[in-house]
Formats: sequence, C-alpha cells, structure tokens
Amino acid sequence: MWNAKTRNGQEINEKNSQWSTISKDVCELSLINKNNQTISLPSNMPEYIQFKSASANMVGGNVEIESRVIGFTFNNMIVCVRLDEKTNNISIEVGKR
Amino acid sequence: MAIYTRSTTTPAMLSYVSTIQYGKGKLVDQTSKKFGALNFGTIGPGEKSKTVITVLSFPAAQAIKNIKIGLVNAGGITFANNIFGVTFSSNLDEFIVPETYFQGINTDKSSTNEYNIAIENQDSITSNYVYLNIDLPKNTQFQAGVVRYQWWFDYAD
Repeated sequence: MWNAKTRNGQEINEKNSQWSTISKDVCELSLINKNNQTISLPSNMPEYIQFKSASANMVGGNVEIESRVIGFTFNNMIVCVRLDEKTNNISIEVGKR
Repeated sequence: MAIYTRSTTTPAMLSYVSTIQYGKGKLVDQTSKKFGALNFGTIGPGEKSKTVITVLSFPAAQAIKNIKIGLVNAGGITFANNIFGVTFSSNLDEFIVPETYFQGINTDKSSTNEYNIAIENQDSITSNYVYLNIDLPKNTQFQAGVVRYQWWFDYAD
C-alpha cells in the first residue's frame, strides 16, 4: 500500500484516496510491505508516480496485483521502486523520462 | 474485458458479443455467460478453429500500459510454434485471421516471460483487439475449453 503526504500536510494512502486526485500535490511517498516495513522515497522531488502491475486470468475474473511501484522524476530520469506482492522483493528501476 | 467470438469457417458475422468490466480489482459487470475459458468450438485434427477476439478494458483505472497476453496452458496439445494463432488490431474486424503464432508457453505465468505478446492500447484504458485461434495438427485431438491465456498490464488508478 502506498502512503503519501501532500504539501499542505495531509497524510493519505491507497485505501482512502485516489492517486489521480492528489498526485500533483505529493511531497512524500512511501510503500508499506506485508511485514509493515516502509520503503520511502526522497522528499520534495519534482514529481512522484505510482502504479501497479497486475494480471487478469480470463477464467477467474479477478485482477491480481502482482507488484506495486512508486517513483519520482529527477533530472529527466525516472527512478522507481518495485515491491513484489508475493515475495516482498524490492527492485529499483531507472529510466529516461 | 469484452470477448467477441466469430467463426472463420462460416460467413463472417459477429456471432457473440459480451462485455466484462473490472472495478477495483474485481469483476463488477459480467453480461457474458461465456466468461471463462475462451470458446474455440469443436476442432477436428488438421482443422483451424474459429477466431476468438478478446480485449482488455479496465475502467477502474486512469490508464493501463505495458499490456501483454500469454498462453499459459496449451490444453494438452503438444506445443509447436504454428498452432496457437495470435494477432492484434485497433479495429474490430471480423475478417482478421491470425497468421502469427505464440512461440512458447508461459509456464511461469510471469509478466516478463519471453513468450508473452505485447499488445498496444487503443485508448487509455483499453487494449487493442486480440485475435486468437488454434490451428490443430493433423494428428492431434483437442478438448475444447482447456486452453488458457492470461493478461498482464500496469495501471494507475
């Protein structure tokens, strides 16, 4: 689950807010894994992103979230942290914006 | 997710249309009674199945990206690289018949499996139409309904 803090001090998370409504105001962003460990990104970056990677089986009908990703932009680069929902593994992905 | 089915062996008409929508990770609207294993109909040895058209739509998301589809179960058919047809188009065209094939089975059911096929978007929350069929070898029997495919995608909500 992602946790965010906005520039006006509001603390919000995946359960109580939609990312699209607050994304431009985020100044702190973190992920919490299944063991309640927190992975935090640097504060006050120009832009933050989050998305989920999922799969959908045509038989069962459910969308399964396989990993959650948070990231930020910096010098025309995107730096992301991916958290695997099953294994708790963390990987860092860096790419051009 | 909507699934359209037509026959390639009879004059082309959309013989079946269904609409299936996901919301917040769950199926919220299933107007299709065909939801489940894709129905390729009865195929005899050496025959080509009708084409099944499927499209991934995820209205609960603001955007979906990096869409892929994989063959995860060949349904007992011994795999070869000219059996499981797949192609995609931004158009819903009942005359399209796949001429390219899955080159392997995604046995680990992972999004990064080399045999997945990348599918482009037709809009921010919808994939292109994916056309699937089965070109059954002459010496092979087929049990309808056991071939399985799976979608992978990134989404922001």
